[in-house]
Amino acid sequence: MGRVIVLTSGKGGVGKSTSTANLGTALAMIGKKVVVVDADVGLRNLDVIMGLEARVVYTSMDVIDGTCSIEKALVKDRRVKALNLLPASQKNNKMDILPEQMKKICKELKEDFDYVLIDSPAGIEQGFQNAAIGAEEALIITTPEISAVRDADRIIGLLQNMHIEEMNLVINRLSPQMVKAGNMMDPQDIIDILSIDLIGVIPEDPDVVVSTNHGLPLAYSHASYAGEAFNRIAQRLEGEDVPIPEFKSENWFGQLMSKLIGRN
Amino acid sequence: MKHTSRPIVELKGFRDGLHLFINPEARIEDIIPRIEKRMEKLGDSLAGTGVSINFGGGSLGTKELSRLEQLLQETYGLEIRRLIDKTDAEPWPQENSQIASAPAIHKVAPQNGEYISSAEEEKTLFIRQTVRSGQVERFLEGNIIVLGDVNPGAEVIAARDIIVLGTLRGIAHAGALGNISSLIIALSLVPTQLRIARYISRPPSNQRPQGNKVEFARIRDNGAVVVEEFVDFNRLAHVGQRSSAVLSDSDLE
Repeated sequence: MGRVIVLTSGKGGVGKSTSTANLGTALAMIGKKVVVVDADVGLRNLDVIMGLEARVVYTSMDVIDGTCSIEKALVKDRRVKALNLLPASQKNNKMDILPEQMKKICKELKEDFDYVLIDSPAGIEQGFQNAAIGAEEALIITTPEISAVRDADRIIGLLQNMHIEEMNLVINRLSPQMVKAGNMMDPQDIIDILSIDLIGVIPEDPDVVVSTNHGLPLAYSHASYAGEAFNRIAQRLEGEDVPIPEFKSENWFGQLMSKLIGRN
Repeated sequence: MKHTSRPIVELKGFRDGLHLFINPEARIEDIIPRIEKRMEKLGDSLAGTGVSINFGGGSLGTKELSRLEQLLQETYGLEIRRLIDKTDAEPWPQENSQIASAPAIHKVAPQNGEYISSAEEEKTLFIRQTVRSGQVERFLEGNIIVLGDVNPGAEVIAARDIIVLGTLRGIAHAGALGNISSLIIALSLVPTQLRIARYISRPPSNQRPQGNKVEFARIRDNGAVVVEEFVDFNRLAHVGQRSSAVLSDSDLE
């Protein structure tokens, strides 16, 4: 029986799909059977980020309609064995899938896979509800910005209401230089507000844009800062004790500034 | 008893919730528009609040009564607790007097907390988790204690005091029914906004975050919400009148 984890953030553009693709790749590379589920019906792009767009034939909508089986709808990654994608339908919208149907898909998938990673759409509406309904755990993705942290806080409250208690935090696009200069919230400020456990910090890395455009997740190549950060999160999910590098402002003024930025 | 000098409708906050006083000599045609006018300013801020209706011995028929109930319940979301229709049952409110509260029939169901009753009439809602963005905890029967933080975008609203055993970063509204002696206390007080009774304050934008000082907010005589370091409860007792002072309706307007 596998783990069903929803990756969500509330705010858009903080890196949910990128994180899902990279984490799925990283977990599959350490030998886990992984399926990533695109729950962003109508605005799908997980397939693009993973470079699998051209191979999508069926979607989760077809599974729900009974057009095909789940097994048939899965797109198998050729580079990383044991990595699979369940694509979202692009021509439907989020209201076309009912929470119960999504729950059923998750239940079936976790029979066969070690990890079911669900890429949630932005927002707190039905698309998000659908993405979270079948999950037992959540990874909250945020960036070191007040608006993203605020939305993450909202999402954590909603997930608690849905009785998802196991939640971990991923801070994406952290710029160590800006934190050092006191111009960006440091991870501790974010943890203070969100009060959930930190499982990883992904540094800002221009390679990410290149890799998403090429459809090759960074975690695959072991050649970038961001990719390695995702590989470490995969190890932590597996229960290994891998330390998280510290990012802190270096001087008194910087610490005060980051406090001020983080205050609201 | 003559009440000719009284307004047609008066709305007052007490420890057991709101009381709506209706001039016994008024007719329903006059009462309804006055309630509508009064509620207009309050918006839906009172939804879910318990209200007792005091007719002061007036004589409204069943049909008129149900019109009134329908207006209060369906339009404004108030919960009608009891109807007081005998003159001798409840006195018309005098300034600074307090109506003996009847056992509460209705309780506002808390979202994430539980009630305790520390003393008679003093009820406290315990919230044993962080109140997060988008969550509103409203308790109009007494105090709120949060065992956790109140995050930005969250609101905590109480009829009396609010105590946060954590960091208050969001909005707290103490004395929401008009009790101006209500306090807001937090282990770390860095709110978006503080409200006590009808007074609202915003922290200055250049405020330096306090270290490990426990702070509290209260209303000063001039109506300003001030934040001070919390020293001990004895000193707190001298701050303002810790009675259940209630702003009168005219103060609110």
